[in-house]
Amino acid sequence: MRAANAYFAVARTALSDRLAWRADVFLGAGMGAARVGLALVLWTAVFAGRESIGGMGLGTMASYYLIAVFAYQLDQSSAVSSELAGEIRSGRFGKYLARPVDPLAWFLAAACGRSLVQAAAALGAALALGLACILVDPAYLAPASALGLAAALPVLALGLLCLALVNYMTGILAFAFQDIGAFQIGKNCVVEFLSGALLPLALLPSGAREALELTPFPALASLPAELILGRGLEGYGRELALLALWALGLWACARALYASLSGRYEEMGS
Amino acid sequence: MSATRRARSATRSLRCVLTLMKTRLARAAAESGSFWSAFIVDSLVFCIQAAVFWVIYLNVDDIGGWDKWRSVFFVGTFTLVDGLYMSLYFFGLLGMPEAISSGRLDLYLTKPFDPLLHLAFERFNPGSLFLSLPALTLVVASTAALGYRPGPLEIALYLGAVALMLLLMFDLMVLMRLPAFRLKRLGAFNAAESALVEFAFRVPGSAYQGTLKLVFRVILPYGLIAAFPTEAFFGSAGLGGWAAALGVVAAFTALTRLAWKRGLAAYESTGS
Repeated sequence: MRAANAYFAVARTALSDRLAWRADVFLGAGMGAARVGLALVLWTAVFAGRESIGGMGLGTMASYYLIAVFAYQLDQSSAVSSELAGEIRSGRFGKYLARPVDPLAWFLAAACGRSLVQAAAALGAALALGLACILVDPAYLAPASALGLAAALPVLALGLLCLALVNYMTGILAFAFQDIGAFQIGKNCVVEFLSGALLPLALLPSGAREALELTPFPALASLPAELILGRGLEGYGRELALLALWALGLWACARALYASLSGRYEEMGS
Repeated sequence: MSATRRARSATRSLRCVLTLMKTRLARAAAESGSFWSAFIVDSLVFCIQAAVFWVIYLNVDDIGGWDKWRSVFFVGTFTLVDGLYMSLYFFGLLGMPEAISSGRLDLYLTKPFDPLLHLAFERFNPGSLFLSLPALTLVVASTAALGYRPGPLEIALYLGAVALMLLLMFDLMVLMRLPAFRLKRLGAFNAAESALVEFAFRVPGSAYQGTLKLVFRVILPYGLIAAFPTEAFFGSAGLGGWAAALGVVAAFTALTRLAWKRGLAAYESTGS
């Protein structure tokens, strides 16, 4: 219980730290809105003279981006991972070793605290943008499903946990490599594409789509968007179970990687 | 300043830039890991960009009148510009906010070389130049697939447009980092830039119409970067298009210089 309290305090501190940089949070959410707007520019041109593409109309596509882009923005573990790598390289990682805390649990608690602030800002921005779209044309957006929304939350939470575990593993690669910045950028690009935040995974060929459904990445953007739009509820139980398995597997991998790499850590005085 | 002095100053700046690039090349040869990592990451970004268009064209025949091969040419041009600016000044300008906030800028101000150019080109990254090879392959292959036979003039116009867009990209990168003279964190500006660059490179020029054209080709001219060289090559830019692009680049270059000077005036060095 005392340990749980310690990590709760870490999450609360991360949340307060993020709140201290309010302009960053709000402008970041504003940029999410800009991404949705720019995606609409592209898709309006693609849709010119067409009723539907990949089974989606322009309204469904707009609603998809409105959810997927903001859902993908919730993850803050990528930034925490870069900071962790910086601490390892600069010799400031010792603070985790000197205190009775588990670095992985610390990492997840900090990412969770930051993501909560981002979630509040993203939700506000998504609602404002959705309202603006409805004011322009009440029939523009596809209707959301309340059941789908309830189903999307655990999926999104498990997806974020899986991504956080991947980010933790990339962060601790700094024990072995001088600079993991390029690796982080590459990983972020790939994950963004595989999550469906760049374009709906429903447009992919069926083989690629089925292969992606076996990974945790669609849970970051595509799957929550589909569920909220009332699609994809039929295989829900299987997807949730698969995500839980991924989370457990990644957790074990993160533990094993830390055990094999942390012995290389050196800092002044060690 | 007289024309002779200006010419001398420009020649000296160019010589200094070339020296910085030579130094970085020697260092890159010694650190093969960082050399190849930049190339691999850039190639990955390029593959994802190509995959986005590939998926779209699996579902439609054209985007705003641009068929598959015109878009492949656009992707090739985007990759070429991306590879060139990543190798020339991208990494140098990324370090600009840190140089300002830490006081490292002092070192550049005391040297007899334009501090902005010094900052920008000191991290020349030759690894990204390799990205030009797949980019040029795409450009040549799409031109052949379209059955288009460009003459020397079209090729010269294309190269001129690419050079012009590299200058514009330089201006835009500097402008996005100048708030570091007054603000502690630039996370939101970085996010804005990333979103603008990403979508400007992903949205074909034909998609911008009406007000959007004004916004993304004049006010926030990220929409010009890959689209304008494509239009110049296929002859759809016209005299008006060239005049507008030259005007936009000239205006942004002047604005960048002015804003940089004002930033320097507000700069408090570590010793002040």
